[in-house]
Amino acid sequence: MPPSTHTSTSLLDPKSLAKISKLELVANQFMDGYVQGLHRSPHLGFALDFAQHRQYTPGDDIKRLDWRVFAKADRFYIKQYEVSTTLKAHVVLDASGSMAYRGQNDAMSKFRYAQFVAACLSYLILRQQDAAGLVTFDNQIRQMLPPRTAPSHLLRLIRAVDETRAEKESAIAPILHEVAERLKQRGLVIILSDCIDKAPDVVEALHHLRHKKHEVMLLQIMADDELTFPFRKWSLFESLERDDFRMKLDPALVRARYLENLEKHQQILTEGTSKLAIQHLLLNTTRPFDDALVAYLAERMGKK
Amino acid sequence: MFLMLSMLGGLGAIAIPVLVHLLHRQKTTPIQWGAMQFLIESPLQQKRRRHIEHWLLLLARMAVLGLLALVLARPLLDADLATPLGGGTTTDFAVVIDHSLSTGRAAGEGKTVFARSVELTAQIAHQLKPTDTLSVVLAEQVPKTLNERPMAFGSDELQKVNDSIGKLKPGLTRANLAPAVQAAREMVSHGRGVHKKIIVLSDEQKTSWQLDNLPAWKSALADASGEIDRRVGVFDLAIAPDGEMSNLTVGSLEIQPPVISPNRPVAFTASLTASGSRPVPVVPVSFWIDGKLVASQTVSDLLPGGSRSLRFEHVFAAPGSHGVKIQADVADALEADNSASLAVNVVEKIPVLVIDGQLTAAGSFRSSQFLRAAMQPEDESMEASSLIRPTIISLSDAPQARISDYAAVIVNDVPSLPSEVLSRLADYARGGHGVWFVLGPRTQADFVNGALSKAGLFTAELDAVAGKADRDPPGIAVKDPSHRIVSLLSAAEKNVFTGVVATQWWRFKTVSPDAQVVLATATGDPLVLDRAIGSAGGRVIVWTTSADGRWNTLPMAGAFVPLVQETLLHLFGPTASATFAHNLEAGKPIAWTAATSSQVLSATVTRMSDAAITPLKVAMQSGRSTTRFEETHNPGLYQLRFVPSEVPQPVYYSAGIDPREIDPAVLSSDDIKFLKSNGLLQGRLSADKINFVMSAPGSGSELWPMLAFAVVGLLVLETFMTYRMIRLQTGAVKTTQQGKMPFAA
Repeated sequence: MPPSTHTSTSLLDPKSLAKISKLELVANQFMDGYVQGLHRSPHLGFALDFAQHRQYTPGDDIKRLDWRVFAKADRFYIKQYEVSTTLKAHVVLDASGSMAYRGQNDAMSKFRYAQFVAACLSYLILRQQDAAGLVTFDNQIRQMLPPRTAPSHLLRLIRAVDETRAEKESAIAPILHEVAERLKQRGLVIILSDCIDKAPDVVEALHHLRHKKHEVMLLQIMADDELTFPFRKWSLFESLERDDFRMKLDPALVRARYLENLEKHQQILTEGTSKLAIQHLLLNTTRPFDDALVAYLAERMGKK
Repeated sequence: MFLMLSMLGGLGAIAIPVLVHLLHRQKTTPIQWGAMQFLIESPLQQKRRRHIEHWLLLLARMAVLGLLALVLARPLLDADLATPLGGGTTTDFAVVIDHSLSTGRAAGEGKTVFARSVELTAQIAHQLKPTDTLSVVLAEQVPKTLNERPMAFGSDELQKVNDSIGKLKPGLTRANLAPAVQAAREMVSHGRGVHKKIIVLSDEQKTSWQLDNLPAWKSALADASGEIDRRVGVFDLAIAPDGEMSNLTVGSLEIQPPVISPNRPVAFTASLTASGSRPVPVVPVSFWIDGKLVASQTVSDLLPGGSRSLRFEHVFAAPGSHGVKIQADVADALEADNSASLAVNVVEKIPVLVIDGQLTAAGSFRSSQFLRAAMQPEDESMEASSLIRPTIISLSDAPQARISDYAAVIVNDVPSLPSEVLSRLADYARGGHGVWFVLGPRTQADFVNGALSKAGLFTAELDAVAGKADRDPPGIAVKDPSHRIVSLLSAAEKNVFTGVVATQWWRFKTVSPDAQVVLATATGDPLVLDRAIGSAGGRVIVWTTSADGRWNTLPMAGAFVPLVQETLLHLFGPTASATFAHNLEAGKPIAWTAATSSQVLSATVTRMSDAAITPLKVAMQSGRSTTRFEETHNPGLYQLRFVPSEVPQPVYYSAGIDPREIDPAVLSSDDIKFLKSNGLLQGRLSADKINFVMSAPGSGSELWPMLAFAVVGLLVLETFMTYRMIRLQTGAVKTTQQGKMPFAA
């Protein structure tokens, strides 16, 4: 392991990450250092944290007796842990064609970026001995791995993420509805998507998830070009999702309207998520994705 | 029809916006895009409208360029269509003023035809429209254009030209109208007017109109394709001279004898004609030599069309150049034809070379004795005063002789001549001199058959010597009584050859058809033949019988001396003539070359009519001083003087009136028809109908002002559309930033 990896979060810069193709490596080595670094904070804790003491009653497992308390107070107390509240996290990865977009100055496509985030989050979740599952979809659910806590599950998850290709048309809202129906146990649903669909429909689907008592994190991944529309020359815009769909236009002419449309879209999403108490995070692919991880951790902290 | 057809090439510029458009298209970069939905949600209608606006803008730009090319090509609308659109357009006028001698005739109110032409030119200049132009060409022998560029109405240059022609006198030369019209056409073609009109102001003298020179007219008015350019209208404005005027014309001077030497009488004859419609009253006619009055006579009561010859005799005391003038002192219709002049050269002697084939033991040339006697009929002591100075040399001296020093060469009874001498003789004859071959007993047939033919001097084949020496020799007959050699002899009352017989002569097998037989035997065999050689007036004369009395009795006859003298005068050719090379047509340049190698330092020329002196430039050419004077438009005498005084001087030149200018014939109605049918003349005008030409609509109207208006309109539209497009772009961005644009879901 290179010495620098322990200390610098800049290694999560997409440009650096792009050089490493194996998700496992990123997940294991880089995240390892990252998490350990964070571990030292006294405010941070995980599922195995001590919860409370309880008076021993007959029938309790004597292995759980807190001998230190007995030594001090001469009473039997049982240590209680929150092991039983294992988190079931579902990483929902949008593998639609639009995710394959790679900005002019970007090191990787939105989808690759999402793959890294998914891998890292999976690692993080499993590392906390929570259960991590995976849903990949485009216009239908492609793959659905139920949440597991076994560390060996990480490899399956990462492989599944890695093998997914973004190429087909997207249908985010219907898929989220379907996911909401299919997830029996409530848990944390982490959606990695560009949310390029009708915003009210997406909000409605999120509402469905919330209705099913899921915690929802919406990590909206957008390329910088999509956010700023910096094009100047006459261009032929070819849809990544539909072969027969292309538009030739003067970007200068449509830029204003584009940005306006985008702003409206984002506004609906932001308002919708804030109403539903969903953490909505816009990830720009030109920036390191530690935002996403910090947000995840903060989310978890907040729930404790 | 387009005035500037080449500008239509500019239509290619239409392609520029299209090319820019296409290049722009090629630059379209494909972008694989995900967020299509934000693009789609632009209002479709607005997009379509902008699309249409783009096309309209492209069309507007193409139209601007296309119309601009059309404007520059200057299209013409048919006259019929043009009239309702305003019709009147610009015209480039050119006035061709006949400046010939005949325009000096009176044309009423005490003015000459030329003065009336000048008045009419001023009138035309006054009647120009503000956009019209005028050019003025003087028709002389060579046309003289008075302005460099077409002159605009009211311009200073036009005023100056008007003033300058007002000061001109009627011309003294002939006028060639075809080249003048050509010069006028070139001038009007420089103008920018739609119509081109050339008005010829002339007295309609037929000779000036050059009806016999159709090619000159064609080249004057034909366009590049060789067709007559119908866009240029030529109008004839006739200014008729006064019909009821008397006029005396002094015809050209004749001189007799043609070769003048000092102390011998010379006769100058002039024919005076009453060329006007009224009789000529009593007119004194004076005779001038070298600017001095020598004699005078009177002519009286010449009826119209009648003529009389006046003869003045004179004896020149000194050799050299002299100027002779005959002047009729009369005020008549045309002043310029009241005098005639001649420059004559008086020669002291004319050297003749005789190459004799018979050198006697006594050192004399026996066979040439008769010839020498015939050339110098006076006593031996008078030799110095005789005109013809013969030099007799033997055949062996011939190669060394400088034959160019002689006016004629006689080759008398030689067996043959070295080919080198023969070729020199041939060059000499072609240069305008005469060579006289006398065939005799010594002549070899091969010399005539081979060498003479080969040298190109005389082509014939000799048969043999013929003749009847013993009995009944044939007489000599004149075959061509009008021939110069025998014309004087045959004009005698009795046949001067009576009793003269030819006993022997060379008979021809064949003889060149261009040789003219002058004398022949009574049996028909040629005795004297004459042939022209070269283009400079050289001659070759061949006698087939001897000149020493052995083969005939000619030397014993009284006709021998005049026959030899006339033959030599004939042979001298133009170069020995008294009037040779010094009598020019007015307008032709004087070109003088010194006779000796002595260098001339300076020279002047004096016009004798008004004593105007002009210094001349002297140049050296082939070791001889030469000078040249071009301005001989005034008929009359010109006197050249030189420094140093050792150079023989003065030298006179005479510029004569072109006799065609005195021809009173004018264009007939048939001639006018001829000109019109050939497209050379559009109309014939009278002075009071100038307005007709000045205001007549032409063949079409220019469309460019309307097109230019359309171009301006399109430019405004294009600017507006471009501005709007830019404003839409920038405006859209601004409103987005302000968040005021409604969201289309």
